[in-house]
Amino acid sequence: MKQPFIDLYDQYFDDLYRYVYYKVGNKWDADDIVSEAFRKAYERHSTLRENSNAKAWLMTIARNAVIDFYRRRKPAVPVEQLNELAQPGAFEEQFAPDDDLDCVRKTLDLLTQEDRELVNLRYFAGMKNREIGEMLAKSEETIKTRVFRLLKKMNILVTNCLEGARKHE
Amino acid sequence: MSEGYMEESLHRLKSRLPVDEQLKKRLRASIPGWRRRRIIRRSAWISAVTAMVLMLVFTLQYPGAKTTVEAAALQIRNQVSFVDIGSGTPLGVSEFEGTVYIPVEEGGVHAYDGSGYREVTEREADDVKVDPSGTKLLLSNKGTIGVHDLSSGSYTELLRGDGTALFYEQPTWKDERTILYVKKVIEPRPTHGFDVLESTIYAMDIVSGKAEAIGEGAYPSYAAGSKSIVFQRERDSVYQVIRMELASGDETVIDEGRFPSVSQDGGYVAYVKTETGRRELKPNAYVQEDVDQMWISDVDGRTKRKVTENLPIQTTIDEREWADQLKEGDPEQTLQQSGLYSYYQSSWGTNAESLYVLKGGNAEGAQLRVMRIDFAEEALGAAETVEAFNQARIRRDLDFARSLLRNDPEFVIVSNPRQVSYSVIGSGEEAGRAYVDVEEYWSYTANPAYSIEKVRYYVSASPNGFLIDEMEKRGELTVSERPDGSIELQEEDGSKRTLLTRGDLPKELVPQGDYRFASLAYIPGQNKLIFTIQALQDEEAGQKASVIVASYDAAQKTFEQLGRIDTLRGMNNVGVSNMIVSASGGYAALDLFSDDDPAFGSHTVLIDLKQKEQLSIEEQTGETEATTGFAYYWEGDSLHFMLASGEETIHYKWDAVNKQLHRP
Repeated sequence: MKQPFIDLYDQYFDDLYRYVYYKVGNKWDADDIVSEAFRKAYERHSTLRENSNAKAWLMTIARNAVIDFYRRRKPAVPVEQLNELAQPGAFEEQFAPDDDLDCVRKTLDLLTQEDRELVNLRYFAGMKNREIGEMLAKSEETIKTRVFRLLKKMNILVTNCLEGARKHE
Repeated sequence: MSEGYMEESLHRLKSRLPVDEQLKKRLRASIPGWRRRRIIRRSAWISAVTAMVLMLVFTLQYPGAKTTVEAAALQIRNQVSFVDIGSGTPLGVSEFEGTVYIPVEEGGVHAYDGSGYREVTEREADDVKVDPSGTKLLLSNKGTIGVHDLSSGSYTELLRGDGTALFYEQPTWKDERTILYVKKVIEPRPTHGFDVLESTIYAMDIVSGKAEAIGEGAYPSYAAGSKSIVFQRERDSVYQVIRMELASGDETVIDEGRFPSVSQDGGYVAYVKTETGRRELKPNAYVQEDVDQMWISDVDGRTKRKVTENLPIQTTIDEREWADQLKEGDPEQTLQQSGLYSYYQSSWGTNAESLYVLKGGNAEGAQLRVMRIDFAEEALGAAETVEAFNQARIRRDLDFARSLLRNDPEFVIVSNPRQVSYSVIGSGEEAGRAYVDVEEYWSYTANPAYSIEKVRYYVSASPNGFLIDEMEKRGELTVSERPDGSIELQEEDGSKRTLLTRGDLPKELVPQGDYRFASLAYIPGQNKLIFTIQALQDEEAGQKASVIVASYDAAQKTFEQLGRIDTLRGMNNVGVSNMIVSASGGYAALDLFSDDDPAFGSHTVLIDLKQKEQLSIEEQTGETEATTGFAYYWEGDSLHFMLASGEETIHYKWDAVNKQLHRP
C-alpha cells in the first residue's frame, strides 16, 4: 500500500532538508526550496506508483526544485552544472580549527561537482545505492562502485590534509 | 585510516548540517490546507491577531513648512530595496536629483536612474558623495581621497594616505569647495588587528588645499543652517551621535548610534542604533539580541523616531534545546543573535524626502542591497498602507512589511505559488472598523495555475499612520490544470467548471507537434483567460519549442491569438517560465528562455494585449549586457522587473502605458 503523504513528510523531511541545505548553503533559500519541493510532492502524490521508491521520487523532486531555483536566481550557471550545484559554504564557521572534520569538509570542496552530489545523496540525504541509482538512471552496482572509489579518493585527500595540518601545529 | 572511518566522518558531518525544525513544524501543520493549492501565509496570523483596535486620534496634516516638521512627525511613505550588490563589503551610496551613485567593490562607481544603470568611472572607491551641485563625486579608496568631475571625467587626488598606518577616509561635502574628512592613524598589533591612535575630523578647502582640524570623531556630516557638524564618537565602547557647534566648539549628544548622516537642508540626522535585549532561559543560559534599526532625529535632537522594524534573525538553534544542554553549575553562556538585517552608511536624497541606506542581510547567502526610505509630512492612507504592504511582501522587504502590521505575525514566504500582483478593490467600515479590500493575484512558475484571493485588511490609525490589524480571506478563485490536461475554473463558491480543453483549441492555435498549456491568468470581470501554449521540441513533427499567447473569452467561447514567440535574442527553442498579467488585463509580461542559450538566461517580453504589440523590456533599459531578467510584479499598469548583469541585480519599473522607464 502506498505510504500516506504525511508519513513521507515525517520520514524524509530531515534528509531532504539537509540535501537542499548543502546545495544552497543558507537557510533562507533552503526553506523556500524545501517548502516548494514538498508542495510539489503533495500535488503529485497521487501519481506515485505503489511499487516505486518513495524516497528516490521525493529526492528527485527536491533536486528539480533546486534546479528551478538556480534557473531563476542564478541563470548564468551553465546548464550542465545545474544538477551538480553544491555550496562549499554550507559548513563554514562551524568547526574548531583542530576538528578533524574540518579536513573532511575541505576535501569535499576539492571533489568534482558530480562526486559532491554523490556524497550529498549518499551520506547527507542518507540514500541507499539502489535509490540513488533509480534517481540518476544508473544501476545499483554502478553507484556502489562509484561510492567505493570516491571513499578511497577522499581517504587519500583527508590523510594529506591531516598531515599538512599537523606540520603546522 | 579506512573507508569505514571516512563513512563515519561523513555521517558525523551530516549532523553538522542544520535542519530548520521550525519550518518542519510549520509546514507540517499547513499540509491539510494544501488541498486547495494554498501556501501558509496568513491563516496563522489571523487567529493570532486580536480584535482590539486602538483608535488613536490621528492628524493627517502637520502645520508649518517642511523644514519645521519634526523628525518624529516625518511619515514613512515607502521603503524599497532596489539594488542587490552580489558580493562585497559595505560600500556607499549617494543621490542627486534622482540619480543614485553606488561604488561597487572592485567594479568602479555606477549611476542608477530612470535611464538605466551605468558605470561612471572604473576607478575603485569604497565611498562616494555627490556634491551639492551634482557635478562632482568625492571618492575615497584605501585611505586616499579625490574628486571625480562628472562632466570631464577627470580625477584630482586631494589626500593620499600611506595605506598601512595613515588613512584619509569618510569624506563628505560641507559646501561646493569644502570637504570634511577623517584622518586616521593606526598601529598594527603584534599578532593581529590594530589600534587606532588617532581619528581626527578635518575640514579642507579643496581649492587652496588648506586643512583645519575640528576634533576627535568619525563619520562627519555638515549641518547647514545650524553651522554645526554631526559625527560619531566612541566612549567606553558606546557609540554616540554628537553635534558640535563650529563657532563655539560646544558639543551636544543627540543619541547613541553610528554612521550619522545629515540631510542637505541640515534639518535631520539619520543613524544606526542597535537595540539590545537579554533574556534568561535558565540561571546560566542567556540569549542576547543585538538588532540594528535606522533612526532619524532633528539635528538639535528635539525629537526622534525609529524608521525600520528589523527583527531578530531566525537561527537554526533551538534555544530551549541549547539551554537544556547546560547543566547546573556550568559556566554562564550567552547565545548571540543579530537582526535579520544590518544597516550601514546612509545618505539623504536631495530634498530630504528620501534616505538611502546600505542594508545587508545576515542570513547566510543574503546580499547587500541599497534601500530607500521615502518620507513625507502626510502619512500613508489606509489603502496606501495596504498597497505598500503588498508590494513589500512581494519584494521580500520584510522589515518594511512588518512595520505596517500592528502585531508581529510570523512570515512564511515560499517561492511558489508567488504573488504577482494586487489590486485594491474597495474600502469602508464594518462595525466601526476600517477596512480595505484587496484582490491578490497568485501564479505558479511555468505551470497553468493561477488564483485570485479576496482579502479584507482591517486597519486602524496610529501616531505614524495606519497599521494593519488583521487580514481575512473572504474568497478565492482558482484556475488550474486537471490531470487530463483541461483547464478548470473553481469559483469562489467552490463550484467547478471546465474552462477549456485541448480539443476546444482552434486549428490555428494548435502546434503541429507535442505541446502543453503553460502559465496563464484569468480576468473574472471580462470572463477571459489569458493563456500560453508551450510548443515542445518534437523532432518527429519537425517542431522547435515556441510559445503562443492567446486569450479565450469564456462567455463568447472565442479565441484570439495575442502573440507568438519563436526566437529569443536570435535563438530558437523558446520556453516560457512565467507570465504575469496586469490587473486591468491590458498587458502581459512573459519570462522566456531559450534551450539553445548556453548562458540559460531569462528575458522578459511585454505584450500589449489590446494592440498585440511585443516589446523587449531589457532593450528599453540600455542594459545590453544583462545576463538575465525577470518580471517581478504589476503595480497597476507598471511592471516591476529585475535585471541581472554581472553581480548586480537592479530593480526597474516600466510604465507600460506611457512606455517610460523609472527606478522604483
